[in-house]
Amino acid sequence: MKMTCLALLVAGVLGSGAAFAQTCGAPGSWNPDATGAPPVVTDLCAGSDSVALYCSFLDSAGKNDGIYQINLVAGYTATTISVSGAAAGFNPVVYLYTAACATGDGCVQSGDSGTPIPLAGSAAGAYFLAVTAAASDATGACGTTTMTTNGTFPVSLQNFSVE
Amino acid sequence: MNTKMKVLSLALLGLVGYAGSAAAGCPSSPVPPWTSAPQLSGGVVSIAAPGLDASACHMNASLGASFASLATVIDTTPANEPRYRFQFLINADGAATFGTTDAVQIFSANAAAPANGRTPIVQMALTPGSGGSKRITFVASCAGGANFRCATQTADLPAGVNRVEVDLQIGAATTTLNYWLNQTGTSEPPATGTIAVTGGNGDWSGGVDTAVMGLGAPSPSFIATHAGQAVQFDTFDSRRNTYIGS
Repeated sequence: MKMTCLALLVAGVLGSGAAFAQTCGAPGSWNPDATGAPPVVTDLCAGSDSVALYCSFLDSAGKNDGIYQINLVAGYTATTISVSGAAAGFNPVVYLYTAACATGDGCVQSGDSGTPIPLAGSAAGAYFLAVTAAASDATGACGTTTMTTNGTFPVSLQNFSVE
Repeated sequence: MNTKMKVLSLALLGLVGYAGSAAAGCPSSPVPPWTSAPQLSGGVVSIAAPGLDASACHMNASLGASFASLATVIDTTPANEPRYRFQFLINADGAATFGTTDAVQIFSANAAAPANGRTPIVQMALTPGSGGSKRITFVASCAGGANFRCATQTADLPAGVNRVEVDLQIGAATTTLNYWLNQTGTSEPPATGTIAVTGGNGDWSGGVDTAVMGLGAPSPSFIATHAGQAVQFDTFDSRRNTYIGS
């Protein structure tokens, strides 16, 4: 019985990443399958501003952020994370970082619509993955972004029992 | 660059006059004396000879063709400094003629926590001047400005090496940014320019806790025309109280 519940729970998580608040208080999750599906769609215009500054240097004040927490587990097969959704005055960027969420610090990788984040060689562990507008975009710049990857991270099973 | 950089931590303790060996070779990394050197999305920080003044080496910073590119060095030795004076040399000739929308950030003095949603107390950027030249624009956090930002900029930068010095004074009621561009001598002259903010610590968030120098936050046209072009930095010095000069 618990196996059924677990399967439903996992299916719900896999299919509802965009339904989370995607803030530092409640980061979204992203658990792609072996093909990288599903992508994650984030409506930044409907979001909130969680991080004021990324990587100690890149101003994000007044620009909404989509915050996800991902776990790279040893054996992960994804090699890149791409972002799309650029529009006039809006250039989406993504940051992969390890420090406390709201600090936006401890950046290990970054990317934009022309430069995917490379994952190869990244140490296994927990990361924040943030999507937002470029530091050079005007305050309030936003749009709908889509993040894609090409493999699994994969999910680390935390608890399992059969009765 | 390698020797002058060490002035930073010493100067924060009020010491001046450190002199390293100019004959020493350039280090392969700016860390130490800098705390870290984040380089992302094609951004590169490197050390090369000679220095921009009498020092042995300087730092090159260049960006990749990405909005998320970053090439910086970070100093975390400041500790919520209510007064923070700093100076560095910059030669931006490597980033060729600036178009009217070219811009890139070169420095940030950050608070430990945001105020009015902003963590940087002051940011500096290379921005377009007249006829393809460049200026330095200062953006200070302030409650009275649009989006909590108050700005001023220098005149067109002369070609070659420029010396810029800044004095941030964070008071209970009024806070001030004074800057000097290419001043000579060791006596403090009237500032070249000022940003004065009424509102005190609430606007400036209590003091400088981190300093970051290098390149980041490029505009779209900067990415298109200046990716891979190096801007040179040297002789960073920071202090609590005394004018630095030259």
